[in-house]
Amino acid sequence: MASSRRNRKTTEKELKKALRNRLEIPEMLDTKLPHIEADGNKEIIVDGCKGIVEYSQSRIKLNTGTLIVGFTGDDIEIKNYSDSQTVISGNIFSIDFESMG
Amino acid sequence: MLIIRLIRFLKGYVSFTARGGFIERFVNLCTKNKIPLWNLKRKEDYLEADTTVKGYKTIRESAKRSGVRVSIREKHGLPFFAHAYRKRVGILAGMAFALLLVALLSSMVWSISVSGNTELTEEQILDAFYENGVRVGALKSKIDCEESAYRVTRKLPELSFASVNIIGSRAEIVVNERDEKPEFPDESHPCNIVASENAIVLSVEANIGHPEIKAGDAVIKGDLLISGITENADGSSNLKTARGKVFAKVEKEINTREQNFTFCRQKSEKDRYLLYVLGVKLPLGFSVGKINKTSCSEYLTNGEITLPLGIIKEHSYSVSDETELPEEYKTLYSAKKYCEHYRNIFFESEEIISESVTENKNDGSISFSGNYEIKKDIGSVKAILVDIS
Repeated sequence: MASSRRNRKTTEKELKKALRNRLEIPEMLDTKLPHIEADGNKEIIVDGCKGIVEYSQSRIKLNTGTLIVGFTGDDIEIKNYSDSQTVISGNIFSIDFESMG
Repeated sequence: MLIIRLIRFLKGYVSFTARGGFIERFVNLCTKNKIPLWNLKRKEDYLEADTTVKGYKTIRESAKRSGVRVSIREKHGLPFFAHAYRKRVGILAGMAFALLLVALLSSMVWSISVSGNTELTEEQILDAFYENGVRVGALKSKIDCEESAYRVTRKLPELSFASVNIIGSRAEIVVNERDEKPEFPDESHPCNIVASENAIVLSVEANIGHPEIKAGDAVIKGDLLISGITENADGSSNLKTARGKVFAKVEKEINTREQNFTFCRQKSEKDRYLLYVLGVKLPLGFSVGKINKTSCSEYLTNGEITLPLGIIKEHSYSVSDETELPEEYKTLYSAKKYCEHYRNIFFESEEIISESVTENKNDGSISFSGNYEIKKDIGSVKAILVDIS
């Protein structure tokens, strides 16, 4: 019973992916993925943040649902924080992604 | 971003520090409980952040659950400012008065500009509009732009169009002057253009007809300038109404005659300044009287907009009764005035190329003669008599 439901989900995912490829719909429109906008290395806007995983002076890790996005930098701070949009500013050196599996 | 900062200022906000416990959990709980946070800064062992007044009142629960201690660092915004100065009634009254004053002054016209006039002076137009309610200090709600513009066009027949636009506290008057109806020459009778006086031709503009002279030619009165008889290619002739302009250099002379002038000496003069503020003239001295009074004004302006702020200078002088002067001075003065007077009358529409005034002394009497070279159209129409029989 459970395996048939899992199979149905997999088929649904594959179908959606195939349809998106056929219609050439950009990955950006997939609402499950976070939308990240960078203004150089000074300001980054992350849409769809579910929570903060880690927050220190040099590192911020955000939970975006499907991914954990990490920002490393110098004197980085959160300019604005809400569940719809998070604005990170400072000297950002790197961005890394971890899959939630 | 500015509007957000303004809203935050108007509603008031709190800067606080959060120490100990789990900072990340605290921030997540705040978001979950709909407490807005901004300007989050992580320090060594604490967090600095801003939140709304309402948000700070409900932050305790999130702090308790995450083991964080929160304390207010600073309070910002209008509610806190008003609370601090709540006992100072004067400030409130002053602010209210200032707001009322700004509202009142914004409802009036403080600057009027005129554009589009060439023949009529700005003063004539402003006077006409003044009588119809468009003036400095008038309430904008009392001005009927369309009606006043219509009345002014009726009052000043030189205007074909007038409009008033009120932009902020400025009234822009735009006018258009009427063009005179052009005269159409009678083309039913053939005619020539001949010289009306002796001259040296400067330029010939023959619209209809054949030019008989060229620039540099000397002509005497009655000479043919533009002929109305034109020859066709087959040798036959046509009779036309010649039209055109012949500009020529003409010499003129004005000789003085005796003039009866009364000569007076200036006795005293007075000046007074007035401060012009929002349509009100504030005198800065005693009145200078009404005899021989002139005034000039200077307003604060940037070239486009004139502010209702300026200085008016009034000047008046008084003269003594008739003063005896040496006959020589009297003759000189009256001769000069005579020349100037007739020069303006005779050559009002002509261009003066050169002028020289010479003084003649004969048997103790002095006279003046002004010699002028003027540029004028010397063409005059002369009908061509045709014998039909």
